[in-house]
Amino acid sequence: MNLLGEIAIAVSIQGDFFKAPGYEAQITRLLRHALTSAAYGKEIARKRRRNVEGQFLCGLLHSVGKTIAVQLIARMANEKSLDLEKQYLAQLVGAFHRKIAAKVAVDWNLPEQLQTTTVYFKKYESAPSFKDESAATYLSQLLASWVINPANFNAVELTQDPVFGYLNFYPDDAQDLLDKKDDVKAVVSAMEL
Amino acid sequence: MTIDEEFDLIVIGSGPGGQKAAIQGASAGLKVALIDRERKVGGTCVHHGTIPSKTLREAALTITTLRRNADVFDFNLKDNMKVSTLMRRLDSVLGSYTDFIAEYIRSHGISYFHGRAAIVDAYTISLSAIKGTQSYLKAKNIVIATGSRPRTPPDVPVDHENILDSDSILSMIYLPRSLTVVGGGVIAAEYASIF
Repeated sequence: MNLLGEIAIAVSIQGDFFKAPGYEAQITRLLRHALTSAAYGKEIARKRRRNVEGQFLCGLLHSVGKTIAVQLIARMANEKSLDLEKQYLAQLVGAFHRKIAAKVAVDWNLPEQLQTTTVYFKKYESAPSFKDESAATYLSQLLASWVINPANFNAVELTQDPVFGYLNFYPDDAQDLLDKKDDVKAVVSAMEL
Repeated sequence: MTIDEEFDLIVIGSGPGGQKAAIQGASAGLKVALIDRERKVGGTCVHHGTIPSKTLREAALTITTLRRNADVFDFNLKDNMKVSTLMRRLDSVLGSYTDFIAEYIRSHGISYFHGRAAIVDAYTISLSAIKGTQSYLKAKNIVIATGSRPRTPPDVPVDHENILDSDSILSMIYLPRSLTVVGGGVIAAEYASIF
């Protein structure tokens, strides 16, 4: 548990765990989304009567590949004295983050559940194992995006996402989860990223 | 209220009791419907109870045997032991088992419905599907085989984080360093002995 505990504490409390001079805003945005996913993951796990610790970590680390990709690209850009435009940074992150996530999950010796969900959360139905946990991770990051950018979503359309049915959430369960929005925001605020 | 379909027997719950009731009914020539609120057939027994806990128990028994022979095998349990390591084949076991049950139900001509059932009157069931649509089924006989869920006493904050129940204990990532089991029934005794 030590490594995972350290990751969780470092990411949530020390904003400079992932150092990327010049790209701090991107890192903060990614970490805030990760932390919101983690907090929503706990609520999803409670609703499913599953252990919340595992789902918290799945949410926290689901986008670790993106964060590390930004860090690596920032380091290389600084070494080469390049000023990367946002769109190119996004393209590079998009191209490499999944491979980085898969490698990091193995290198950090993350539990099998985290190794799987980090790589498969967007295609949860094709995960070789931990399909439900991967689906819950997908849902947690979807709800995190809604919490952070509510204007980009319609709450009714959000609950039509097939992942709710996959996790056996009925309409009232889905509404209960949406109603946890303020609790999740309070948890994220308490972490003071 | 429009009745969508009529049956001789409706069984609510697809655990061992519900399966047997439905199959007995179908074998006796009745038109049978089987309803379960969960996505997959099998009930608590398959997904949260008997089979997962027995998988964990078998792993615990193997470890106990190895420990008894520790002087021969130089055996130590790793730090940060992951629960999934002890339940490695669970996914494939559950998959095979639910596929088998689903096929067994199909082969008996039983109509399976995924949704929440509510009793409207002595012969009518309302069925709320996962998408929220409502339908009504009628039957001469209704069997309630819904089993049970862990009770959450109002004065015990079961948060599935520090205080777990017999469902959430099976989804822990790591083995706990210490554990207090409250209760002295079969399930409590089983988990106390496993951990």
